[in-house]
Amino acid sequence: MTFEDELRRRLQQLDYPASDVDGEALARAGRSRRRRRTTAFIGAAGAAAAVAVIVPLASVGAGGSRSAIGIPPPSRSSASDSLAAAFHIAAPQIQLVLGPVPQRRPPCRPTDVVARAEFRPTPSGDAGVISMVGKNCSLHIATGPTRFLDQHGASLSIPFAAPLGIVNPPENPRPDLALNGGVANWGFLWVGSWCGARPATIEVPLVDAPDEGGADYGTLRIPVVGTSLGCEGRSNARVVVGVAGREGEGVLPPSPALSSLRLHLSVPGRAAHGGLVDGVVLTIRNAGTAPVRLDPCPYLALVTDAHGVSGTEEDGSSLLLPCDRASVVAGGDEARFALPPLQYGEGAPTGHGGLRTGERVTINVAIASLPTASATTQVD
Amino acid sequence: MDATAEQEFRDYVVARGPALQRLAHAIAGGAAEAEDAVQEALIRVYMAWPRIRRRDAVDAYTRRVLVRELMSRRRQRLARPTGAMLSEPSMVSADAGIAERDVLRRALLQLPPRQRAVVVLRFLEDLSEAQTAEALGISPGAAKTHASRGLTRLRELLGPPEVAS
Repeated sequence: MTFEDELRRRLQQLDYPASDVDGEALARAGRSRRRRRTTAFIGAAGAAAAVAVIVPLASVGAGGSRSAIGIPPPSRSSASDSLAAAFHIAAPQIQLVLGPVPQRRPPCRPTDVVARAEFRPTPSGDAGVISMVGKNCSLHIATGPTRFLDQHGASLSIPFAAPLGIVNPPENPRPDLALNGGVANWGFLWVGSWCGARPATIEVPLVDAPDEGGADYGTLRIPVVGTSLGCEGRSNARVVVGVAGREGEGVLPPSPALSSLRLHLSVPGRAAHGGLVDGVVLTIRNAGTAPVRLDPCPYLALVTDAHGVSGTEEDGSSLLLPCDRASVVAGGDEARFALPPLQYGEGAPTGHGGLRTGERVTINVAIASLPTASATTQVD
Repeated sequence: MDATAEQEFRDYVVARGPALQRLAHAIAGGAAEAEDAVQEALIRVYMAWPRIRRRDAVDAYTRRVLVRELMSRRRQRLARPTGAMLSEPSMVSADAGIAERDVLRRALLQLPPRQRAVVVLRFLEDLSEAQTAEALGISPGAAKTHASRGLTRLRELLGPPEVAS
């Protein structure tokens, strides 16, 4: 008997804990998920749709007076302006995200990629987004942009780094969806003063990470437009590198201007019913004295943990704050947002998301660089 | 989805559920991971069911979804027990084959996930190199390489057939 035959025999004899797989339960879960995909808010496209359902309730002044925030009609970026939708702060990864990895195409070379880069001024620096579209190829980009060049091709001495040492750093849990598909945006934020030559080009190496072999496929050199960098006596500029994402996903790192904000969640005591938690209110409080402008506008990461007798199940989504309707949080003030109904126990389609009356659902909400807010309710 | 298609899906789950669980358990690092992956894969198959026009292609499609689901779980940083749809692992009865099976399971777990998946697909599912590559979304050459390296490592871990059997 060959080793292969022996292996085949022994694999056939491997036992496994047999479980009942309930086709009807799976079908219910599939139906529920299909409905949610078409009406709610998984992922980027859904997140854009959800702008219409996060409702800013009110701002409360330091003195306790309540003033309603006007709610203009929801605005959505058009599909033809993909960079506009990318100028948002990416959500942090506080959730388990599943799904098949899309197949990689051949690696993009620089000549296979149509790219552009654009700056926009924000309260705490110049936000930048790079758009890359590969022709029938996958983008192998391990680190994002790495340096600026001037109009003569000389490197500018501006350090590039990921946002380290912060809570809830921005992260796209599935960059493979953008990069393997060959169409991706990548964000960055320029902060500080710069008195040197004007940046004309940004470089993005097409390389694999060292633990994936470190293959080098060349370097993208992309002209940048829209720079408005200022000199304030001396150069201390640095570039904070964001994340990769698809069209409609936030890719920017968090703005330092958000640091005085704190999140708070409130939810009624028995607000979970039939797989949905309703009545969750997010309060964004400005603990500082200076007003904070929500620009770039951040995505929220939302996770529900359904705590049942057999374990905990996570369901996650991301939502874009309706910053156009609550754009500034004054010092000492707060803004409140009513969240849309949040789903829990999606993969356990046995009544109430797999939970029994009285069991708990915890809601977690995070914005990149800010501590996570949590609240718990019970199944009614 | 109409009632006929719904019934077809339920029949498919009944018929193929055990084989899918076996495949998942052979590839996954743990029972909970395997059960989660089977559940997720079958929900995805349900959602795609109306678009799967050739019923003879369902197995290949389901296997592809399941295997890629298992591979994608390598990317996850969190691991938690999940909801209540699948039952907890049952106790395995004691018999003379337990030690042998345990040795094989431990050896499989020492392979990198993709090598392990290739070995299981090739020698448990009896797929060709091309079918294995298709299930994993890799080239046939890569599947061949993974199989070769996986077998070499298993030989080291398990010893020759006469010792292993």
